[in-house]
Amino acid sequence: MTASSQNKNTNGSMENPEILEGYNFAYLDDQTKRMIRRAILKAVAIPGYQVPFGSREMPLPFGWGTGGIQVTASIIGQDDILKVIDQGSDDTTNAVNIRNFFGKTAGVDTTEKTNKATVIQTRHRIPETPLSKDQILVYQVPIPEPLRWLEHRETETRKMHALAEYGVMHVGLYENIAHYGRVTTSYDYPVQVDDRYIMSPSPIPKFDNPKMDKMPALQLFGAGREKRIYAVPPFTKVKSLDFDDHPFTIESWEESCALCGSSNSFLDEVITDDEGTRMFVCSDSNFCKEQIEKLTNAPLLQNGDGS
Amino acid sequence: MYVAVKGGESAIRNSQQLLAEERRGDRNVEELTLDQIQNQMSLAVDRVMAEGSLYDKELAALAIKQSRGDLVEAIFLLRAYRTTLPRFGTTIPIETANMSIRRRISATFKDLPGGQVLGPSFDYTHRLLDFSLAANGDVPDAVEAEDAVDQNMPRVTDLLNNEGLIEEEKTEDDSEPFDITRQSPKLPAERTARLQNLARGDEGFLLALAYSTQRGWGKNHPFAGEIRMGELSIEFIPDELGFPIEIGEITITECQMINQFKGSSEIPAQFTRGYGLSFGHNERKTMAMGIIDRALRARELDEQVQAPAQDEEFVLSHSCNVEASGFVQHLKLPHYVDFQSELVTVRALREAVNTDKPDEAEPIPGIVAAE
Amino acid sequence: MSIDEQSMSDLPIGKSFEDPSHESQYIFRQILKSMSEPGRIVTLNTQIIPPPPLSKATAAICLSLLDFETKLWIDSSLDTDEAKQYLKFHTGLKIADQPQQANFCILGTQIPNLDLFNSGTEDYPENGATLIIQTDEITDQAQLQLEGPGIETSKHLSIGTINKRFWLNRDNLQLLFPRGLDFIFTQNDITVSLPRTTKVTVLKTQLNGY
Repeated sequence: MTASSQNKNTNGSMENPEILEGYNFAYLDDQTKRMIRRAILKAVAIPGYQVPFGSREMPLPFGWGTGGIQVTASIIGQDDILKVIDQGSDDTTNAVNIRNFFGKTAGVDTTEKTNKATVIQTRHRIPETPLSKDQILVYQVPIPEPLRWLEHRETETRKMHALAEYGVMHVGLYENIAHYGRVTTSYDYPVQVDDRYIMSPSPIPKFDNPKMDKMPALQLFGAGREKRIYAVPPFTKVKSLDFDDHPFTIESWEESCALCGSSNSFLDEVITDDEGTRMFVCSDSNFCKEQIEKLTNAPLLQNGDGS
Repeated sequence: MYVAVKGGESAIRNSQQLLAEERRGDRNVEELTLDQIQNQMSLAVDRVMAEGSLYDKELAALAIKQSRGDLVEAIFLLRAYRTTLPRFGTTIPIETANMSIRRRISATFKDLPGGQVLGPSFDYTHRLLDFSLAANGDVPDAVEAEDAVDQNMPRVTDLLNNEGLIEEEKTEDDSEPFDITRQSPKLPAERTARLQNLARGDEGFLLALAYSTQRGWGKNHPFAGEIRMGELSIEFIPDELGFPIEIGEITITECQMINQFKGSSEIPAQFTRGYGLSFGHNERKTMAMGIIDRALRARELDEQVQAPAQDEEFVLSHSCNVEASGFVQHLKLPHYVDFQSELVTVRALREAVNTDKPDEAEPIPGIVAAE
Repeated sequence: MSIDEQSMSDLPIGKSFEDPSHESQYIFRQILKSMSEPGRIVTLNTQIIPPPPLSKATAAICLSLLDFETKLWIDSSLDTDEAKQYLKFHTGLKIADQPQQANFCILGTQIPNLDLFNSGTEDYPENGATLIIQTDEITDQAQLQLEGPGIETSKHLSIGTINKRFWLNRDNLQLLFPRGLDFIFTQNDITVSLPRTTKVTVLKTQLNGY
């Protein structure tokens, strides 16, 4: 441990007066953390398999990231630097709220810079900046079961996963192609991990799916309400399901980002007036800012780091 | 020039200040005290304690006050607090035959040892708004009974049991009951896990499901064998003492439903049970719970599972209002990215259709429900 | 029994974490790194003093991950009263009589047949046990070649005096995936993991004269 971390006590530090009194470091009690840590280790050992865990009620509503929060709370330490994004952005209300939660309960340093973070909690996006070894990406997952829309019973889907009987998924995708001429699933597009488990990537746009493949960072997925944790270890094969005659493709735009000019990032559509005039801007706010900085060769003051 | 939306932090802060102000309401009106809520909104307190899985009237009253009377929100507050509490141990199982009864009724026998005790009940009130309460709440003291309630108040199901007419209440084995607050529930679930789930389950959900069985969605004709409400002392054996000590008293409501069962080649015809139990005075909840507990035993009793109330995975997965409220309301969170993905897909589909058949465009496929 | 009532001689020898919450977190993160990147040798910096024959790493892993909800089985070669008392006192874990009942096992280099351990079911493969194996040497020499999730291409590893039968045994177990056992090897304060997914090719069996 570093000298600076030893100055802090369990309930926070003198340096940060805003830390919540009377609660454990990162909110969860140690017993709960151990239970979640054991589940995480098994998830890593069985890539793509959903490990059931004794999910707790958190002070944020189920469905609002309680799985990701419990995973982050169980892995984070005093020396970590945390980044929280929702829809790719550090500034959406939910991201701000979760970042504040860890600021209040753990007092860890936070950042908006993707490459400075050691732990990144995300909802619905993978950052555009490639992640590196020793970073951990924590996904918030609403429905961890990729087969749920085809078979709603857990008792059935568990058997399918056990026996790797995934015919129903392929038939489902193929029927989709037969009807529309293409796979119309645009987010939460199912993947197969290490040629074994079919896994939900969480509702990221399929644009982000290729980033999961052989990612150098560890990917952890937490579904609090559904009480499941799963993982993809670094450098693990993650393949989006497709067919030889209908290969997997990602979204593309004719437009470029109106702010930074990027033509290879995921774009959000913004309506700018009553006539429905639209413009497109990067969904990853930090990536966009860095692109602008590169162009102007100077940091943008109003978007400075730190929160 | 367009600047990406920022400032979530101050918006959240301001919204919360406004919320606090709205909660307080008109400052010329006296502030509610927790005592007032505990005493005059006692059934709300009881519901919050039951579904919040924490027996503490003062904290439940605080949660109700903080949530502006939104009981599902109050239940959530109590649950979130509960998870942070250390667990010192487990109390001795309660024996409801020993409770000091305040209310006890049976719909199956006209009279029985201990008698029918109506107690405090809305049952035979005429539902007429009492305008005198709008003026002031003064009520005359209730009449005191000449005789104390009979100490001997056997449970109706025990009386039936003496004749062997009702199945024995038995635990599945000697193992500890399942604890859904510590472990991820497994399916098929043990009865202990089901009962714990129902005891914490949303009253409205259980009520609707129980009602559905009465209308034929899962044949299940119950008799309210007994409903009893009263106080019980809670005992705990500390490791260092080795003998039980009383650590407090709680109010509970218990409902024993009696259901028909034809019997089989091995078992002679006998009645079966459905069980409901709740913290506080929660009659509607415990009755609904008793009906659903019985309906969920379909598999065990070789009945066909046809209706939602009999479907264990359906009932257990959707009974928690903290989970349900969170997930339904999470749709308020930003979904810009997924929606953008859908826009790209729908536009591409429309374009493909327009290119192929410019004159007879197919209906545009609907947008899949967002996550 | 409360601590007061215990005589001093009942208190376990050795020293546990000084700051359990943060030290557990640090040790866990190191184990997570090790389990995510099979073959990566990770040091567990810790001031604990476990009673022999427990290695620092073995004890730190147990202190970090085990509690009253887990069952530990200790192989007879390492099963001393001091070790058991230390682990039970500091974690509250339960000791399993049979390896089959245990979530975690501590073993020496004489590894019994892997059939003895709980490898989970196809439905619930996470019930497969974690085996902590104390060895005499862990280096990155080319005794074993590792491939699989968590490894970019391939990696070399050498683990002391583990016999070849163990690796054959493990190969056979891998046919049952997703059922399986996950291994954490320890030596002093270093550790390396081989989760059930890692494919191991034995390059040299005689590396350490075994």
